Amino acid sequence: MGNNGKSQYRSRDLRHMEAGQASFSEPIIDVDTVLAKDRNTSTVEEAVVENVRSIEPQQVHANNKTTGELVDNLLIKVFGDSDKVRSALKEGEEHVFTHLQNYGMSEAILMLRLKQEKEHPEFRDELERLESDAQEKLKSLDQAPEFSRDKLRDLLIEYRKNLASLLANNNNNMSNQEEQITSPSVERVEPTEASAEVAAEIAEQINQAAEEVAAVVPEVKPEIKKLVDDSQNGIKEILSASGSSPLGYAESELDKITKPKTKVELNSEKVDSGSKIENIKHLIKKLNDAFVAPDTDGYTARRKTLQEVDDLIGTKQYQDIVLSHSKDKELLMNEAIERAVKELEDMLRNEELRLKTKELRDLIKQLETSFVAPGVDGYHVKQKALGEAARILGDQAYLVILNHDKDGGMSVNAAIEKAILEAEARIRAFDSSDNKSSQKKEAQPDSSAAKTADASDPTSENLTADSQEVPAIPKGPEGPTPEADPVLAKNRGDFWTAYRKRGNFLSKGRNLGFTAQTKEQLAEYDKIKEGYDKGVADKKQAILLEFRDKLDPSLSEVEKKAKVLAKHMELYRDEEKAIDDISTQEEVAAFGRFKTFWKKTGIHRLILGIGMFATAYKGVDLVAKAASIGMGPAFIAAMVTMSSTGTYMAAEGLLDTRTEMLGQKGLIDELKNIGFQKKKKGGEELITMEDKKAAVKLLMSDEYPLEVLEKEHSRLRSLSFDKRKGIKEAGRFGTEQTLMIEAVEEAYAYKKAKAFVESLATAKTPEEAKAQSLSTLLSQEKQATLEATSEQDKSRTKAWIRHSLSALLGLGAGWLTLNRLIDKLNVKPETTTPDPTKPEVVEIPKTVTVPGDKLWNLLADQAEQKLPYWNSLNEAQQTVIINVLENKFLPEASHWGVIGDVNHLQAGMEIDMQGFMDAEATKEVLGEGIARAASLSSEATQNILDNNDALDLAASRGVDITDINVDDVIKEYRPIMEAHEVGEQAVTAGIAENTQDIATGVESESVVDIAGGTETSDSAGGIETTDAADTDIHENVLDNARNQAEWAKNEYSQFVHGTGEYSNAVYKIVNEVKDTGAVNDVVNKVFESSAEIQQQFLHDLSPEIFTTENNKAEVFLKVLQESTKLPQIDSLGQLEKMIDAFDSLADSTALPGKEFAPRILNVDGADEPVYVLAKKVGGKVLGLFGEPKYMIDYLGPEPLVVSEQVMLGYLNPRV
Amino acid sequence: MTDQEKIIKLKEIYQDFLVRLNELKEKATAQTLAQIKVVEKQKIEDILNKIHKEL
Repeated sequence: MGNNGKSQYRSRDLRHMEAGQASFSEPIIDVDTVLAKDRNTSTVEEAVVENVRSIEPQQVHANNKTTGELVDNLLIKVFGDSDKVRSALKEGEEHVFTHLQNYGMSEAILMLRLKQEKEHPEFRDELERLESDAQEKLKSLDQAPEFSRDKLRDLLIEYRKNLASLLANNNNNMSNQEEQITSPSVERVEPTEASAEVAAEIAEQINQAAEEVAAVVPEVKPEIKKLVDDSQNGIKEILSASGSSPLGYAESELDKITKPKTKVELNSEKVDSGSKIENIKHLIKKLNDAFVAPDTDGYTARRKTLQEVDDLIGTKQYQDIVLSHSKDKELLMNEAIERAVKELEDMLRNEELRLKTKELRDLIKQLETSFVAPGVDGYHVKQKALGEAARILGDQAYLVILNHDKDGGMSVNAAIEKAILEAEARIRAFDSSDNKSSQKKEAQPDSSAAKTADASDPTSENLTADSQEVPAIPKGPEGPTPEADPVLAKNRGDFWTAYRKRGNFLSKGRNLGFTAQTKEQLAEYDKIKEGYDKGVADKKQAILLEFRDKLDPSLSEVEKKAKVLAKHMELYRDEEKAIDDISTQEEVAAFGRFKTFWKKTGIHRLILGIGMFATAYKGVDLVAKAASIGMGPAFIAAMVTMSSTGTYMAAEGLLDTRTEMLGQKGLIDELKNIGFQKKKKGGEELITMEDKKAAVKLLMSDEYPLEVLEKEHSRLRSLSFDKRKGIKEAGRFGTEQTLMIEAVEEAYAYKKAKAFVESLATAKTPEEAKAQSLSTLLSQEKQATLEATSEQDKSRTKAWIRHSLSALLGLGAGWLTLNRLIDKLNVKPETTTPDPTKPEVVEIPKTVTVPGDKLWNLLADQAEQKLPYWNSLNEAQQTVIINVLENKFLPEASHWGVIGDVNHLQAGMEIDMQGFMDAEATKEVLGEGIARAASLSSEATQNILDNNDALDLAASRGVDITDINVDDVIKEYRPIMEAHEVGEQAVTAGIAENTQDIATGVESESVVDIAGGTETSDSAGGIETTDAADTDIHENVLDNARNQAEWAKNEYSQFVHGTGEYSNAVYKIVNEVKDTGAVNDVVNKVFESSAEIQQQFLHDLSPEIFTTENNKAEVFLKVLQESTKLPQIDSLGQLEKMIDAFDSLADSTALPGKEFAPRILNVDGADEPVYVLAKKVGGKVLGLFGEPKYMIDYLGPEPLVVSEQVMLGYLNPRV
Repeated sequence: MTDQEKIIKLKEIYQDFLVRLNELKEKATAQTLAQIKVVEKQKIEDILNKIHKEL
């Protein structure tokens, strides 16, 4: 634990820096020249190359040694194994290591040549020339500042080409010269290199050309594909026409050097290494074989295999199954096999994961050890470790290590560091996937140690940059840890438990709503907080001062400072870890567990949630609909009931992660916005190590002061408690944001520690230091817990709004629209990555007032824009929300651009409504308003509506309502309005009579309607009425239904008795009651009334037949009007008879006579056939050749006159 | 087969490929053109019919 090897190697790094720059650049040249004197060669490189020539390439590789080791051995071999050589090598290790890759390449070039030389001794000179050219180029490449791996590769390719073409040309010449004595050996070793190159080029060109053409003429894609396949096959045939490439061996050796191993290779290696994996695989295969084996034999084989499975797993389940149910053994056997295979596959996966993790951990260890490995062996070890890293991590970059730090390349140590971080990230990824599947977390001493090491040092760049003032953070002598202190542990436990309780808005210690806790609760909390702050500060002070005193006195002040800083950071991390342990404790209440579950599964479970909603909680449907009427108890009951359903949870979780206003976004999201919509592609991490490094760099800058980091850290801490997760997983997107959170934590810890060290440095005497350190630590701790508390408040407010909104949405808008609503809630697109250094300035248009604008209306518009579910809120709820906005706006009116009297807005003013709505304070107020609107009681709702009516009445009488007189106006007009209403009611009550049967029927129908169409009123009794609230809801539903029925009844009877107007409700009521008498009464009354009412009635009767488009009602009524022979319509039956008669007339496609007759015409451009009245008009008068004309009365301004042909066309367009 | 012969053969394949690809392209283009012509003709006829009707 704690600071391990990593700090040490960093300190080594820095010691180099302190020792002076010379050791990096100068001594190498001396070693080269001095040592090379005894040799025939002039440089180390040449000596090595010379020596390599004497060795068979096969031998080199048979020893399975890495190129670096080889070169190192050679160097010693060349110069002799003396102290002098070793020390020279040691001094030059960096340089030599840097050039290793080049030696490797040089060796490869040599090997290629040697191989060819063996086959073609006659070309020795040419081959040597080619090789030395290539070596020359390699050397100059090495010295070039912009050295890159690609260039090396190019060089190698060119060299191979040259070799091949040399041999090809000469072979041609030879075969021409020696045609008669064609030797089979010549044929056999014929090189194919040049043709292979050409083939590859042609194959590539073929693909390209095909793609281009396919893009232009996609319809012949299949033919093109066939053509390409044919051609490529032809190429293959030609290439395989003779023996294998003589360069095969060298090539494969080269590939070993230059190509990373494929995943398949790696996997198979790993699997081979674990005999358990082999066993599992073997068993799976056996089971699969046994499954398809014939009966008798199969049975024995199966049973035997199942027993083997049991042996492996250590159970008896599979063999027992077979034995105890021998009757049905076939079925059970197969079932058992399937289950066994499944279990084994799981085991296999876990085992492989375990091996992979182990391999990564071993790699981390190896890399860490290598980092501090000294001397001449050091770079072997480093290089070996990096070789492993390249293999395991599959990144060739670790092999190409050049000391070109300035040019953006990697230094050896940076490469090791990067490899460690990468390995850690992979382990993390495995862990999280492992957690997801099994929910069990293995103990990971190795990785956590590595993580702590990682966290201890922000990044290499940073420390290097800061190295002047903070030279090194070595692992200091062990001081006492805070863990050892039981008092502190208790304080900590007390505080964070209190903190958690405080954050739970459903906790009994809180009032519902988000008013603060009671005074006593606050005092209690503060007391616990104080105890904890002091406890931590005391402990830290004791440890830090003791640590400082025990430091080696020979150390410089700067070094001491750095060590204390590191210790401070270490203590911080220990404390954080301890807090994490508390935050991740399992919550007992089902609510929390459910919430976590839904937060994890989120959108995918929404559908399931709806299913649960419908089946498991049938009654809730009713509850929900009822509550939309706007009752407090109903709302709360629904909220509590629904809080145990998946639907509510899904909504809450979605709002949390997906909404701008109510979600949990913070600095980490600003640093790197990964967005909700952005899908993870093939396991690719959304946030990379590079992002983290950049973030740390940015956060370490002065742009992000300690306070900002503190705030973000506190926010995350609060979320970690909310989500019952460690702080590193507290981001909106969980583990995907871990790296960013680490960046914040590292920068925060560092800045905090730095502030402490600096304050300590100002102290002159030990006493002063003691006082100074304690006060600094205490203020740091206090600040941290205070900030955490304040962030929790914010987060809780948001959470409360989310919860309320989730319930409200469920009640009002319906779950199915939720997804769309949530998308609308996201004001900003989430896929862009904002550059924190350049904040985007978006010009927001201001609202320009026009004559007649009222603040109330402007705010209503804004609320409507901001809240997508606005229109599903009832009037009272809307009023509440606008009201809180208005109260917020009024005192700040001038700030937002209002000039003069806010009650009488001048036209042409530019008011920054958008700015007002976007202000943090407004958002909070809006949230309050939403929550309040969501929990309105029925009395409050009625009260608000009455107030509104009173205001409407006042306004209609010309009263000027302002924010000052509004209360008075309400007071004055409420009685007037109520008197008015009472009078109206008295009148209607007198009319309402004798329709009890209708009323009852309607009542039950209304309940159906309100309950969502699936339940009858009886089912209201099916609600689990465990709560008084539920009873209230039921009552309310019935109340409302009764009210509606009452109203409809009144409408009907007033109309029938001639005292009221016809309304849609009148038809509805007779239609729903299915009372023939009532229906006939209505029909009779309608056809005694005006044509308008008749028309409306027909539209109500069957809206799909009497549409507003087709004129049917109008034409039908006109026919009734015009005709004197038709009887009076006094019943529905009579009406239906008339309509039938009309239809048979209108359906005719015959040309009409001289009397107007109804017809259906199909006119171009009209959506549907149109009903008209048409008749023949005195054709010969109008037509020159006596052709008859037809007059069409389509009830428009003027009738049309058309020719017979056109009329026929209209009547039957197909003719 | 010598390497040079192989290269020659490979080039032949490539030439052949290009020729056949071009043929395909021309054929497809001709078909498309013909289709476009048919559609256009139909459109013109439709317009004429409409005008005729309205007259």
